[in-house]
Formats: sequence, C-alpha cells, structure tokens
Amino acid sequence: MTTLAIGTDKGGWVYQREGTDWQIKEPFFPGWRVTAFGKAADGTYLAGTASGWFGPGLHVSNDLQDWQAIESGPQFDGTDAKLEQIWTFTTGPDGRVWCGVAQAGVFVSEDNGHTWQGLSGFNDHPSRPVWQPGAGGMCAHRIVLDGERVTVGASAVGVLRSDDGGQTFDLRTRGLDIAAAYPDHPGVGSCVHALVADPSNPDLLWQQNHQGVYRSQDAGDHWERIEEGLPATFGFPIVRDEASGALFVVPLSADVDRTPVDGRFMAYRSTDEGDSWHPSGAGWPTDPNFDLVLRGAMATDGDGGVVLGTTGGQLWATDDGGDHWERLPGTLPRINAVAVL
Amino acid sequence: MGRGVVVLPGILRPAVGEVRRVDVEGDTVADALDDLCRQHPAVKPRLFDESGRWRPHVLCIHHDYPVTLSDPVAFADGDELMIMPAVSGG
Repeated sequence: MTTLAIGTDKGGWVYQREGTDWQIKEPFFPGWRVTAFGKAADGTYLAGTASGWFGPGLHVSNDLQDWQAIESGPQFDGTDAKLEQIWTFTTGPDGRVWCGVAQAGVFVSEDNGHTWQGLSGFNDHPSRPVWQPGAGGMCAHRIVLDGERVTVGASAVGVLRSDDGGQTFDLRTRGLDIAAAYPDHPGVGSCVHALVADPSNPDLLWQQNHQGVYRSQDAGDHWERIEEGLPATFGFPIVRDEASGALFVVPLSADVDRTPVDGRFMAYRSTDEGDSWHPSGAGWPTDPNFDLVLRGAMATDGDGGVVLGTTGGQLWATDDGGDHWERLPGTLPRINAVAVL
Repeated sequence: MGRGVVVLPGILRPAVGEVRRVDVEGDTVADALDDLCRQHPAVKPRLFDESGRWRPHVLCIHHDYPVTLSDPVAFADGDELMIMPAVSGG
C-alpha cells in the first residue's frame, strides 16, 4: 500500500507511504465534497465531487494533484432523474469504466472517463417508479463485474443483476429483508449498503445491508444471514482482502443510533467466508470512540492492506490482513471515500 | 451589446482557468452568462442543472441585486456580474 486517495466533505487528500512514514500531500478540490475515486485502464485517475450549491462533477488527473473537469460527465437524458452524486467507479478487464450515481443510475465510459453513456437497462428499469432513497440518497453505489454479468447494489432498491452485459437487469433480493414492499414490484426495497465478491468465485457475494449482513453463493439468486459473532448487524462498508480472503465490516449499534456498540470502535473480520466474525486484531482505541465508517470509506490493496476513514476524519490501516491496526497521522474533515491507488 | 465582467467565487475558479474575473459580452445578463459558458464550458454544469435551469442556490448579482435569468435584464458596458453561493442551509 503506497498511495491513498481520501475524499472528504471539504476536499481531497493524498497519503503516500514512504518507508514506515505517511506523507500527506497538499489538499485538492478545497471546499468541495469529494465522493469517489477510480482509476481507468490507461492510468487516468477519476474523482467525483459534489456541492450543495454547484452540483456534482467528474474530474480526471494524471497525478492526483492537477485535475481537469469533465464536461460530458454522466447525465440522465430524457427522464426526470437528477444527477446528485457520483458514488463509485469500477474499471472492467475490457477497459470500460462503470460509474454508479445518485439518483440510482449506471453509466459507462469507453474512453477512460472522458465521455459517458447511460445504461438504459438499469436507468429505465420497469420498477424504477417505486424506487425510493435511503438516508444517504437513492444511489447505485457498488458495481461488480464478471464477464457478461453485472451486479449492482443500490440503496434503497436492492441488488440488480444483468446477465447480458448490462442490457437488462433483474432484481436479486430473495432472502433479504425488504424495508418497504411494493406489490407490483416484489423484491424492490432492500437497502443494500455495500457489496463485494470473490473474484476467483464470482458466484460468492457478500453484502452489508441496512438490515444485516448477508452472503449469496449463487450470484445473488438467494441470500442468507451471516452474523455470528457480530455485536450489531447494522453498518455501511464490507470489503474483502483478496490475499487472505478475509472479510471486514464495521458494526454500528442500530440504524437510529449508528455508533459503535458501547463506544468500542473497531472492524470485525471473518476468515471463514462470513460463517463467523471476530474483532479484527489489535491497535484500536481504548477510550470510548463513537466514530463511524461510511460505505465508500473502506478499501483494500488486495495484499493484506485495509484502510478505513471515519466521519470524525480519522484514518486507520492494517498491512497484515487485519492482525494489527494503526491510526494514520492527521485529522481530516468527514471522510466519504477511501481508495488505494 | 454590453462588455463587462463576471466575478467568480474561489470554489469555481478551477473551472475557468484559475482566474477570478472573466470578460464577457452580451445584450442581456443571460447572454453574458452564455458567453461565460461558451468560453469556459466546464463552468456551465456548475451554474445550470442538467435541465438547463439555473441552480437554485446560486446567486447572480447585478448592480447589487440578485437577478432572475428569465427576466430580460439588460447588460451594459462596464457591468459586473458576481456569482456567489446563496446563504442557504442554515
């Protein structure tokens, strides 16, 4: 893990590790809410920004410092949907970049993020008229790619899967609790907070949902609860360290509270594909700490490195798969997005 | 046709090449803002939403008062338009 991009409510920061020290670079996008980072196949960095006054934006950079605003960013055409925020970028093996946004939409770029086309199979889904926002907005926040299979996590809609490269999507919410049911569109209304897959076995999916932690062993056709050992089942992120296969969540006491249980702030880890959960290693604060981690603020480097950012502006990291954690230097504004680049 | 300037807040300067003031021209305030967006296309989505409507929490100040773009306000030589975020949200 060498370079971290951190998106906050008041700009972006880059952390670079040199030896055992972390260097904090000059902030960028001062005053802007920075909501997501990505990296295109040609090495171009992508960033999503937002402002309550000036709207959402998409920017590209070659060095994470000098950014160019994209004029032809994701835009809904011919619908009442509004672009409120960019939530995620996912680059596929074919070089296409996929972008999930609020209000729940998916866009694809074939030129490393410079121009975007809406994915009508998702954006004009027949059930869309009953889609509703969660507290964080109505957002398509996770996109998992596996060949022609495209799986999207959307809040508070559910998991939608395409088996034809994104032409058509079907809901995959069987087994999930539904927060608000719609008789004409059964399966709509599950508040997915985060979604992750095992790249070596893409049928294996996990999600942190508003109403619990779930696993699917058949690409989302069926979901089962996997909560043994967790102090609480609410939370936002779920990530997976590819090297060890370990899963990480950050439990919060309840949706009306959203703080660590009894002020014991820490990540929980599962090393058995979600069958059981345990506190992840050592190094966590011993004083009461009521911070929380948002869904976009936890990332892995695929080789034992996991980093998370909190709404209190703290960064915590491990480079040994979750055995030992350390707090990184600095206190930033509320952290929305963390990426290992 | 009037020739004047648009003054932008710091947060928007990256969209106009890091300058504070942009020379514009037009018969009306709306024309002058069109000229701004023509010169600096990246600023357009910051001022107008995807429907082409002026963003509701952005002010355009002309002669010390906010103007509404639907009104054909004349833009004269030496006029200054100041773009600023509205004091909204508490």
